[in-house]
Amino acid sequence: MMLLTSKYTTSMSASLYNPSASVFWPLDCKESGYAFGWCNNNQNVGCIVVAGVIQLHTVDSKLPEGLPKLLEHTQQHTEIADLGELQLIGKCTFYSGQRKGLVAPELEMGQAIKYSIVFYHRHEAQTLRFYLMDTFGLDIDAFNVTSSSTVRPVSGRKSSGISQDIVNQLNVASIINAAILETLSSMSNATPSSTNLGQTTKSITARTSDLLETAISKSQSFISMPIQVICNIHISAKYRLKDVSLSVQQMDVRADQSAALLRQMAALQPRREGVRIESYSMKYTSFFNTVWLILNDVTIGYAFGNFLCENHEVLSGMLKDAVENFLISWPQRALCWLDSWPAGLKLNTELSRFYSGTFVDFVDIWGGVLRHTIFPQLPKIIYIFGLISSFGVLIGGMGGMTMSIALFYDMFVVLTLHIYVCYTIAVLAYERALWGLGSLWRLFRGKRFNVLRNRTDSWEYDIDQLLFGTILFTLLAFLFPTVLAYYALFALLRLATILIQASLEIQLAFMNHFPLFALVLKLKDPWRLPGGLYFDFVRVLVHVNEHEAAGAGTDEQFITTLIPIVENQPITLGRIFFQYTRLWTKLASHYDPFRLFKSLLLGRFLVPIPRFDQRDEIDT
Amino acid sequence: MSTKIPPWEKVLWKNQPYPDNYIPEGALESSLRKNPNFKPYTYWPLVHLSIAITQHLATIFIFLSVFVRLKDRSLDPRVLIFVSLGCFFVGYFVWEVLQYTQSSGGGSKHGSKRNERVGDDRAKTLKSSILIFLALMSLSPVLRTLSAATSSDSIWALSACLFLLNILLADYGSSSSVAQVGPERLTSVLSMNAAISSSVVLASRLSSDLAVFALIQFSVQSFTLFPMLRRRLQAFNTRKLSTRAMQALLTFALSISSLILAAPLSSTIAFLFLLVLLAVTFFAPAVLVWAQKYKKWVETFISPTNYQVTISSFRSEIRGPWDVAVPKVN
Repeated sequence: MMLLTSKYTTSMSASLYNPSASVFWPLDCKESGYAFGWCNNNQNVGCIVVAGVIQLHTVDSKLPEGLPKLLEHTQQHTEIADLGELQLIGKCTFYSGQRKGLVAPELEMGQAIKYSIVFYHRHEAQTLRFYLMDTFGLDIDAFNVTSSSTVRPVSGRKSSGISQDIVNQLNVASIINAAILETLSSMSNATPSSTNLGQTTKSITARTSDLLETAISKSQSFISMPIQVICNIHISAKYRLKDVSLSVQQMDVRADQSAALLRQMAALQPRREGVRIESYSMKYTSFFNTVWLILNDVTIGYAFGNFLCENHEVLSGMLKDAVENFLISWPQRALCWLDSWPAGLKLNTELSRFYSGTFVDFVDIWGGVLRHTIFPQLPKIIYIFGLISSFGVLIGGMGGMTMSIALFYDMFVVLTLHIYVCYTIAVLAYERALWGLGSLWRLFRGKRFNVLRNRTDSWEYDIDQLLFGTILFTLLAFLFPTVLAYYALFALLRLATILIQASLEIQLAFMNHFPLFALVLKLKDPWRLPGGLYFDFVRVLVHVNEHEAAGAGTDEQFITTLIPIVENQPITLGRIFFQYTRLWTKLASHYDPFRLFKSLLLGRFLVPIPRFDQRDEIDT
Repeated sequence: MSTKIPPWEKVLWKNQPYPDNYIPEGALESSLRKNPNFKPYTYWPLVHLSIAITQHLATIFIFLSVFVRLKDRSLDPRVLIFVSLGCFFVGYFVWEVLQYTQSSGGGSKHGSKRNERVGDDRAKTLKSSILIFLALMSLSPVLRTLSAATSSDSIWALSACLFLLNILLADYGSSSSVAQVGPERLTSVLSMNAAISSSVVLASRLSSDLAVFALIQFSVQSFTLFPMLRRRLQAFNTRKLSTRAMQALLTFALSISSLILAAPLSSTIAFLFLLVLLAVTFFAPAVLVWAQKYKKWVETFISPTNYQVTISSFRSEIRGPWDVAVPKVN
C-alpha cells in the first residue's frame, strides 16, 4: 500500500492513443478526503472503482498509515475477497465553488496517470438495486432456483474497460463504504456497536411470523411429500400417475412450489455478509412471485368454488343435457347419416353397415355407463369440486382455481373417452388401408420401395405375388372411400376435443407460472430488474487551473463538460416472458394447422402436447 | 517416264512419290456408305409380326363374350371352370414340349444344372397355381359385393379404360433368345395388372360366387399365362415355314372362336370385332409401309427413346470414315 503524494496535472482529454484510467466515482459522494476502492488492470487500461471516501476531518494524523490496515481488516470481515484487493487510491478534493451543479472531483493518485471520471449510482443495500452486465436470469419458476443460477459470466469484454468484476465492485461499494465508516466511527468513538452487516440489509422473514413458516414446513412434511411420492408412481414403464391425470400433476406442482417456498424462506433469512446481491434479488423476486400467484389462485378459487357450490344443481343439469346432446346422440345421428349414402357418396354397403353398427353400439354402451354411474352423482361431484376449489388450500395448499381447472379437465377427458376409443379404431383402420394402398400401388406399377436406399426401384415380382397384389389392390381401392368417411368423422371429433383440452391446459399453465411480480416491479422500480448497462452524459463543472483557463479563453475557475454516467437498463418485456415465447413456439409448432392437417391425411394419431414437453419448457 | 508410279497405298510408313495430301479419285465416293442399317419395311413380315397383336385382341374379345354370357347366366360357371382347367393343362403341356425341344436342340452344356432349374421352375409353378386357386376361392365372396353401389355405367367405363391400357402397354415381342431358360419374366407388369383389375371390376357385377371365381380364374389364365406361352411360341424359330403356318393357324383359330362366341349375342359387335381384327392384321401394316417415306417427318414429332424400333432418318444418313467405329458384337 503506497501513498505517494506527488502532484500532477489532471487532464480531461483522454484520447484513444493515450490510454487513461477510468475512474468510477459514486454520484452521491461529494466529500473530500482519502478515496479507497479497487484498482483493476484490464489489460493495460486501468479501471479504478472508488467505493467511498474517508473524510479528512474524521482522520487523525496517524491514520493515513493505519488506513491500509483498516481496509485489510474490513476486507477480512466480509466475504468479498474475490472482488479484488481494497486499496487506498489517493486523495480527492472537491473544489466547491459558488456554482450550483454537479462538480467533478480532482484526484491525486500514485503515478502520474491520466484519468477520466465516470459516475455511477451507488445504491444502498436495502433497496435491492444493482447493475448487471447481461440480463437478469429470471427463473420465475419456483423449482429450479439454486445458488448457481446467477448471472452468466460475460466473456471477451475485458478490453472494453468494464467487465463483470467491475460491475460487482460497483454493486458492493455501498456496503463496503458503510462498513468502513462504521469501523471508523467505532474506532474513533469507541462505542460498542456491532459490525454485523446483517443490520444493514433487509431481512424479510424476520417480519413475517415464524408461525407461518412452521405451518408451511409441517404441511410440507405431512401432506405434500407423501402426495408427491404418490404422484410419481409409475403406472407403466413410461407413464407415471401424473402423466395420466392433470389433477395429479397439479397437486405435484403445488407440492413442488411449497417445497421451493420453504427453501427460499430459509435462504432469504438474515443475509449473510457478502452474499451476492444478484442471487439474493433473484430469489426474492421468485419467492414473492410464487407467493403472489398462490394467493391469486386461492382468491379466485374461493370465488369460483362458492359459485359452484351454490349452483351445483343447475350446473349439473346443464352438463347432463350437454353431454347427452353433443356427446351421445349427435355422434349416433352422424353415424346413421354416413350409413345411408351421405351427400350422394356411395359407400360400400357391407363395410359401412359394419362400421356404423359397431360405433353406434359402442357410443350407446358408453352413454349407458355414464348414465348409471356419473350422472346420478353429478350434483354431488360438482359440489365437491367447489369445496376443493374454495378450501382445498388448507390441505397442504392443494386448491384454488388451478385445481378446479385441472379437475374439470379430467372430467372432460372421462366424458369423451368413447370418442377416444372410436377414434383409435378408425385411425388404425385408415392408416393400414392407406399404407396397404400405397404399397400395392407400387406393386401395380412393378416397383418396390427400397428401404436401404430410401427410394422406389423397379422390381421383378413373381406371378403369384403380382396376381394376388393386383386383386387386393382393386379390393382396397374400392373399400377405401368407406374407411375414409368414417375416419374423417372421428378425426374431426378428436380434433375438437384436443383443441378444448389444449386451451384448458394453456389456462392452467398461465395460472401456475406467470411473472406477475416481475411485471409490477418493472413498472414500479425498474432499477431492481437490470438488463444491461448504458452510458448517459451529465453536465459537470470541472475545476481548472489558471493557465488552462487562459488556454480555453475564459477566466472562470470552472468549465462545464460532459461526463458519462453508468445507468441501468431495465430488463425488456421480451426477456421477462422469454419462457412464454418458447412455450408459445412449441405449442404453435405442435398445433400448427398444416401439421395437423397433414397428420390427419396421413392417419397419424393425434395427441395433445405431451405433458413433459410442456413442463420442460417452463423449467428450463 | 519409264518407271511406273506405284499405286497409292494408304500407309504412312512407305516412302511414296505422291504428295502427302494426295487423295485418289473416287476415294470419297467409295468410302461413303449410305444408310447402312436401313431396312425398309416390307409387307408380309410386318403382317407376321402383327399376328401377336391380333392374338391378344382376340383373347380380349373372347373374354368379353364369356363375361357377357356369364352375366346373362347363359353360361354355367362350372363349364367355364372345366374348360379353363383343360386349357391350362393343354398350355402347360405345350410349354413343356417347347422347353424340351429347345433344351435338347440347343445343346446340353450344363445338363444337370438346367434340369435342376427346370425342376425348380415346376415346383414354383405348382406352388403358384395352388396359391392362386385358394386365394381366389376365398376372396370371391368379398369381390362379388365390391361395387354393389356403383352404377353399371361407371363399371363399363372403368373396365374399358383398363383394357385399353392393357392393349397399349402389352409386350408384343417375343422372348429374347433361345438361350434364356431362366424363369420367365413379365416385361410389362402394368398391362397385366390392368387386365386383372379390369376383370375384378367386371366380376363384381356377377351374381354368384362361383361365377366370380370362374371369371377371375379365366382372366388370370388368359392375360397372364397365355401371353407367356404366346411369346414362347413366337420365339420358336420363325424361319421355317411350318412354324409360321402354325402361328397363322393359331391366330385364325382364336379369331374365329371369338367371332363365334360373340355372334349370338349381338351381330353388330361381332362385325366390329371382325373389322378390328382385320384392320390390325392386314390394314395397319399396309399403312405403315406406305408411311415410311414420311418417316423423317414423323420422327421430328416423336422422340425415339421409348420405342423399340429406332427410327433412323430415311435416305439421309451418310456414314464415312470420319464416323465413330461401331463394333460388331456377335
